[in-house]
Amino acid sequence: MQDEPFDQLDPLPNPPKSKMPLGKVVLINFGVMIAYMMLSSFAMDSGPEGGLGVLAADAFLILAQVGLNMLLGFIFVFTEDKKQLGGAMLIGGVIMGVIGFGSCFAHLALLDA
Amino acid sequence: MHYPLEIHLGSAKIPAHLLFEMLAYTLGYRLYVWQRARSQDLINDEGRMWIFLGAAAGALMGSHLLGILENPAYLTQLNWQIWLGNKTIVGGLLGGLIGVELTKKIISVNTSSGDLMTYPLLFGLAVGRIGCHLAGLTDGTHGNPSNLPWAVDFGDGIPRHPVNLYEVIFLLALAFFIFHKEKKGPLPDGIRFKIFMVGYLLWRFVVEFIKPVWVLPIGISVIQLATLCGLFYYKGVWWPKMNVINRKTGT
Repeated sequence: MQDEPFDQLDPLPNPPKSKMPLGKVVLINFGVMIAYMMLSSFAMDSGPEGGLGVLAADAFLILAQVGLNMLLGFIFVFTEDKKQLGGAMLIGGVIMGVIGFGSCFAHLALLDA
Repeated sequence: MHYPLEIHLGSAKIPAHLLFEMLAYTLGYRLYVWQRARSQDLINDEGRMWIFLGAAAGALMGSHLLGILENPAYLTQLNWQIWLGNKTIVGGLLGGLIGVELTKKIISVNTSSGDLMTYPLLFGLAVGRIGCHLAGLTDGTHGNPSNLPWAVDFGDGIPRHPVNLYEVIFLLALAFFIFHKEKKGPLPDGIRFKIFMVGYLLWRFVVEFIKPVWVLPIGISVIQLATLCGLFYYKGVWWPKMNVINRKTGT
């Protein structure tokens, strides 16, 4: 019996790739957040007053990041070919808000202590 | 170990809690994508997107709302700091559930959407809880003082129940239980998620007794009251006459 040549074998079923870029959008957002949190950590050791200033800056950056995600998300989600990107940005904005502000207030608790 | 743990990257410091929270979302989502690619999802990409959005919006509202109600003193001095600084997973899960069900009604999806989320949620919660443990006393998820040999001193000199580590063990056990149940034969549509919800809500009802929480006049906390409401919603899973786990069809 002759073996079938490889090019005639049934191709393995490729799982369909999700069109939603949620993973990429959230990872980029995480990277941005870690970058400014690392930068602000340099100033956190300068005492409670300096720490409060850094926290205020962090809160502003988180707000800006959440706001930008939400704004672009709302625009894109009603744009026909960018609907998935819009949805991903809206979800990314919510996640950044939950994680970012939680971390910010944990820092505040540390300063209070 | 010093709590809260901070991870040093050169001379910069990142709270371990933040990293573990990011890791929880990332790994949970990767697991979801991996599972979805290997199963027949009856909901299309756009439907999934709206369901995710409904879940995120509901979870956001629910987690903060229950987080505030956990301590009614916050209600008299409510501001943005208190609103954003208080959140709880039980509120997130129940709020997310309401958000998803409303979204599914709007987009006319009748099939279960939670089954694919069960293992990612279990895994994500377990990773996130390790972060909560490493945050020590700062995120308010610690346990009551205890003299048990494995009690942990989070830096205030008082040994406490490491409730977050208990929860990690519970979540892994629950994942194993569901996996074992599925090995015997496929579960009906939606049951995997329902077992997860009932298991987790039961766990939270019990574990709240060893947490420093504000208690209602009826002797339970607001979170415990919320878990009871959730358990009532899922009565079909645990009420013997309505038990749907062993049925072949229908949810």
